[in-house]
Amino acid sequence: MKNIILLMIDLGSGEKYTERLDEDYIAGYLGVKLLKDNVGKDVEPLSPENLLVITTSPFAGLPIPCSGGIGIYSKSPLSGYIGESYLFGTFGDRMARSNYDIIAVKGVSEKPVYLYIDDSSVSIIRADKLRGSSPWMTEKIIKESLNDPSVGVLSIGPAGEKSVKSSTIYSDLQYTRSGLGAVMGSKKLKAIAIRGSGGLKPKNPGKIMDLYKSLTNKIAEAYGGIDLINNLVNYNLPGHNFKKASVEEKKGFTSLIDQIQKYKLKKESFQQFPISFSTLYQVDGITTPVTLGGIAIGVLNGIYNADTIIKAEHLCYSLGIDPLSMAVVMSLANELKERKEPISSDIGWGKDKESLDFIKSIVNDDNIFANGVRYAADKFNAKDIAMHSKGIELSIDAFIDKDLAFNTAVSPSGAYFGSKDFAKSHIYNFLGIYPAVHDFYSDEYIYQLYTSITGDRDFDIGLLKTDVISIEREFNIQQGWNEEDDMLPSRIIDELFGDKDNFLSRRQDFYYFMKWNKDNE
Amino acid sequence: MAKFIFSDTMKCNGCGICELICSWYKEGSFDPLLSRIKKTRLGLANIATACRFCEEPPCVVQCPTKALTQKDNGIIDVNKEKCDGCGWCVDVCPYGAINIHPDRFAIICDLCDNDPQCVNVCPTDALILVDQDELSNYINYDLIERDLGGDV
Ligand code: SF4
Repeated sequence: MKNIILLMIDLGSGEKYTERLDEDYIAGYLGVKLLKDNVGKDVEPLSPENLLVITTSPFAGLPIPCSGGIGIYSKSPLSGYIGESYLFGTFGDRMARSNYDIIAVKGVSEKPVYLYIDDSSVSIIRADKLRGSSPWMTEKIIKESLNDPSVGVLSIGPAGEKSVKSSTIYSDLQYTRSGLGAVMGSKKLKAIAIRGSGGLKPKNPGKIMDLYKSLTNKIAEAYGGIDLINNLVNYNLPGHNFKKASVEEKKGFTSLIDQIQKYKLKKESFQQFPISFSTLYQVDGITTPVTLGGIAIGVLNGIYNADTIIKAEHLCYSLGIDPLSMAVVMSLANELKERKEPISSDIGWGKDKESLDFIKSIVNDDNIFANGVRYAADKFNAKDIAMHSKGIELSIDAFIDKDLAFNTAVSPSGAYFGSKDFAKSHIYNFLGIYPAVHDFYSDEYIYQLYTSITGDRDFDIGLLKTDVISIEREFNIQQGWNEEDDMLPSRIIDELFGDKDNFLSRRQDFYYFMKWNKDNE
Repeated sequence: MAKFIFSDTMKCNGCGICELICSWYKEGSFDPLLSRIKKTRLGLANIATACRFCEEPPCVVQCPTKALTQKDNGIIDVNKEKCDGCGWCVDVCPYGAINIHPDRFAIICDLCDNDPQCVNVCPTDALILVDQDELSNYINYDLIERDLGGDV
């Protein structure tokens, strides 16, 4: 593997420096290690001392299908533990062609700024004019002002600027989880734009092309013709706030999926993705992707109008909030209302307009729900109905599938990205492979790809695994993690595991399998 | 009329594989800047575009060192000895289809000896050989005029 170059930027002092790191590891691992070495228990997630770390994938910029994603890590304002997310597309490609493998940002800028990285030069540019703009508008304006439509851009929206805890970082139709947008916002960093012009010359490009074809065929066979939203009708989705869905709710849901087809505009892909995984929808002059997040807003809150769901997802994108988190926070508000708690919103199950207003109000000052579901539930003494893992609002995945639910519980970040095989997905995320395709890759493929890139035939994924798999957990232990944090809300446990003992015994087996003991030795 | 490579905007998903394969085949490096086909995004449409073998190519006419000549089949030939990489052709090409190699010469699509590699590898079969008259059948103007977002 090549040397890993770290770019460290302190937005408080304006200081920047680079450092050559250990050469035997992938950037993702070294990025989380950097966080572990610099961000202790006493560091508040939204304070200047927290680091926002972006790492490159060893597969970026090459014809390696559905990979090349960047890892974004920080101490999460929602969990207080590791926050992680993976974004695919242009940014990762450009980063791989720049001089940097890890970008780490600390400090707080005095004024709103954005970073522009051009191969090796780094500029901090005033962003006053970008204030309050949506992530996609931010991206558009930056591309225009740099006069370069090819730059990769990460950006936040108004929610991130106001440090709403479930804020996202946006890039190429995707958004982060873990409140990473709030960390970026707390640093007054509106965006990062990157241009990289380096060519990539792997040792055995012909072999990479062969692997490209075989992997692409496998992925296309499974996903080529599938509409991911449409496909959801085959699953057992939850009803109001993760309760078992009633017959009525199921009907509503099926009709929502049915109707939404009418608003489909086109499928979308990202750089390095031969297969499309996003779909754009349109209604009343709005064009937006609709993801599992939008569908979650619908099913968890009894909203079955496709029109409203598209608008809700669009609002989340425009404000820069995580729609999966919004779905859960909204359904907490609905259930509190049902319990006659004094919440200051006209929300109610299935109330379309009020639900959209609820989303808009998330950026208002002193909105209790802007602090996430765990915090808001605590304020109303309603821990029992706060649907989260380590403070990260649950994805509806965690209701559909017992293994995904379990993996969400034990995931160090409280969010889970990947297949049923936790250990495999954990390392494949670090390698920048798209979660939906982890099943198509194998350690053998990874070995072949690695050796084709570097020529190093001694590469051993086993060695990489041992370290990568525990580094996030080590970070958590340093922050005061204990076993009770690897937990799910009882609504999920009862539905999927029968009772808590079943869940606990599976957890014990899992720790044993992972060789994780209490002290993480 | 000479046929050239263009992407069907209803099919192209913007994956950029065409640029990678082109730069590797021609220059031995995976590098969009060395590609003879360029992927761009206009509004919500992805478009991959390469040299159109114009009937009166402005690049050939305006090249200050007379490094470019057009062959009978329409393909523009670059004389690397004469070309000094000034980039004038890049500016005058109406389609943005020319790149400059870091070793300072123009790089222009030559259809890979009638076996275009990008066309072979495009995962959506978006790349096709068309002439100017057929072109508009493959452009979705509605998508080009749209953008993400809008007001609720
Ligand atoms: S390879 Fe095909 S789908 Fe991908 S960008 Fe090029 S023309 Fe579009």
